[in-house]
Amino acid sequence: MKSFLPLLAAAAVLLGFGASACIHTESEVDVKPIEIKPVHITLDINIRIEKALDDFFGDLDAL
Amino acid sequence: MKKMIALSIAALTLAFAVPQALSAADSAAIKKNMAERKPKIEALKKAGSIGENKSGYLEAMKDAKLEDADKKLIEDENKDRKDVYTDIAKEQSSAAGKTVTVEKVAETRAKQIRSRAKEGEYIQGEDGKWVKATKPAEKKDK
Repeated sequence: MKSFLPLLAAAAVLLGFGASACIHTESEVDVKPIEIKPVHITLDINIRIEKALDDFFGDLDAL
Repeated sequence: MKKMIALSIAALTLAFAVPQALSAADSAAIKKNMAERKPKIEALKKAGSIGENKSGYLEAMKDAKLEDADKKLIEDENKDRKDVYTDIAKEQSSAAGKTVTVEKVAETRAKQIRSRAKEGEYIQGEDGKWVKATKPAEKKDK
C-alpha cells in the first residue's frame, strides 16, 4: 500500500502536467476566407459560351 | 430645326453603333448560308488552300491560289461567323453581368474547331503556328 501511494501521487502530478500542457498547446488558427467566386464565374462563363456556340454550330459541325 | 437634325443624326449613329441581336430569322438565314457553303469550304480545306486560324475564322494559306469566288466565300463565311460571335458575346455579357468580348467567343470557337478538325486540315495553334491536324474529327454526342 505504501509503495502504491507514491505511484498514485506521481500519476496525479503527471495528469496535472498533462492537463496544463493541453491548455498551453491550445492555439488560435487564423482561417482566411478563400476567394473562389471569381473562378466559378469564369468557369461558368466559359461553359456558357461553349454551350451557346454548340447550340449554333452543333448541327453545322455534324454535317 | 438644327436641334432636330442633330438629334436625328445622334439617333441614327446610336442605331448603327450598338450591335443589334440577331433575330431568329437572321440566325436561321446565317445557318442556311453556312450549311450551303460548307461543302466548298471542306473542299478548300482538304486541298490545303485554307485553314482555321486561332481567332475562329477561315484564312487563306500562304501559297494558295484562290479564285475570286473562293475569296468571296471566305469573306462571307467570316462575316457571318463574326455576326454569330458578336451575338453570343452580347447575350453572354448580359447574362453574366460582365463584358464577354467577341474575341473571347471567337477564340473559344477556334478551340472547338481545332478539337474537331479532320486529319490533314490546316489549323493554327494558340502559339500562332500552322499545323496539319493529325487526328480524326471528334464526333459530337448530340
